[in-house]
Amino acid sequence: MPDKAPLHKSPTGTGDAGWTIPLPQFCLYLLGLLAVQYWAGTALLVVRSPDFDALERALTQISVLPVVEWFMLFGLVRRLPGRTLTPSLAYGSLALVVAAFTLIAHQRFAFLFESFILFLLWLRTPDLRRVGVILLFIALQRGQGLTVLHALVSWVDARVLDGFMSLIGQPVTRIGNLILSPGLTDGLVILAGCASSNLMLPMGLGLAVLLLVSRDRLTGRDYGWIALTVVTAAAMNIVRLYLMLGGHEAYEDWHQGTGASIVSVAGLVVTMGIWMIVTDPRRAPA
Amino acid sequence: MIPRFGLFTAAALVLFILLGIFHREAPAPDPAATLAARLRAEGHTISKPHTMLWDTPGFAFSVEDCPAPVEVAAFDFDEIAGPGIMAAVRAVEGRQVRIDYAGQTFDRFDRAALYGLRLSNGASGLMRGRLVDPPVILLFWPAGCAPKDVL
Repeated sequence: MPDKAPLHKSPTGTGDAGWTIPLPQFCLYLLGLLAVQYWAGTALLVVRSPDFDALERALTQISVLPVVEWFMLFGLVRRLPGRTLTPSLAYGSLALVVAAFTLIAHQRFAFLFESFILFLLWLRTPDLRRVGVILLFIALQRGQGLTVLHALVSWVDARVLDGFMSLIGQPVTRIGNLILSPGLTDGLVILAGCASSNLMLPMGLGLAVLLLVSRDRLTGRDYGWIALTVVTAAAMNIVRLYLMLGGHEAYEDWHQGTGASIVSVAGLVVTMGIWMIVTDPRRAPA
Repeated sequence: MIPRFGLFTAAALVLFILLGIFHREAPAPDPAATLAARLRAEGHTISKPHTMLWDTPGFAFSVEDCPAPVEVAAFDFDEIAGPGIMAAVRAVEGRQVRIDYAGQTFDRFDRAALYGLRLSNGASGLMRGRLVDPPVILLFWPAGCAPKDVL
């Protein structure tokens, strides 16, 4: 779709002086409000930490990728063209956000709901549509309502891990999603928390967000890179699961400890690295 | 000068902060702890389960005529309904299992029936304006003891 739109004028010709809003200004204010809603829970967790250990736990829950995405999103809206929006679209969007955060108790779900409706509302408005898609992708990264995907990926992970262990000459016994190995005789059960989907969603959607900040829309080649990122995430998690089978200490470390943080940082490095490769100006087609 | 839309957004932000300050939501009770407290009040003796199922909240309780305590695990619906999980649970526990979900008891893990019940609960919850997603309670009965409706 061409990145052009006519200026919105008052149908009466009398003018909407003061009510029409320039696109960058609208995005800046509304995204500011949405960013507060998005980060409020995390901020509260940090502020209410009763001791240093709790604060440390709270801080480790803050993923770097969403911070980068929000930062870049604000950078994008500053570069948007100065065309104006109709008052109904601008104030309607604001009213929707207010209604959602007032009526829906869980702000995480409220944010997902708002992002989806705003994505639909903004679909026909050039530039704003791109912001809507980015917002929806950021919301989806939190994984609400994707439990079926988590369950399916856990199921696949258990089988791939079984195959991987046979391949490297360390066969294990698999019963459903339970992996019994010499190192972890009481078994490792692959539930949603251990699934690759927890890496695939942030890495795949994160790359899509970064690419959409960099260009108007995703190309066929971008989808290929996103698929590669998702496959890399799955492979990284299989290695993590393999390391978890090493024993109880290794399990704790790679499940939630330092090892888990290493995997998160590796995911961030891979995502950012692929984004830098894909958006390298020297790779642009002639 | 702050633009008009900026003022409206600032008002919305103030409303959001005020809602956050005055909103006091009671923390969701631990379903296993609630159930244990209820069974204790009914005269059952509560103890630690013999087998812990992967950090899933659980406990054991005495039942008349049973040679050993009945073990209980409260699973998140989506977790236990995922393919491959129930097989793992059976492999670890290996005992007679009864399922209790939203006040209904099942003699076996009937995934379709559980999903049906969840759907109807969700629909009625939406009509009443109160959506809750109760856990799936697994009761492992010891050998030599006939399962009874105790919940």
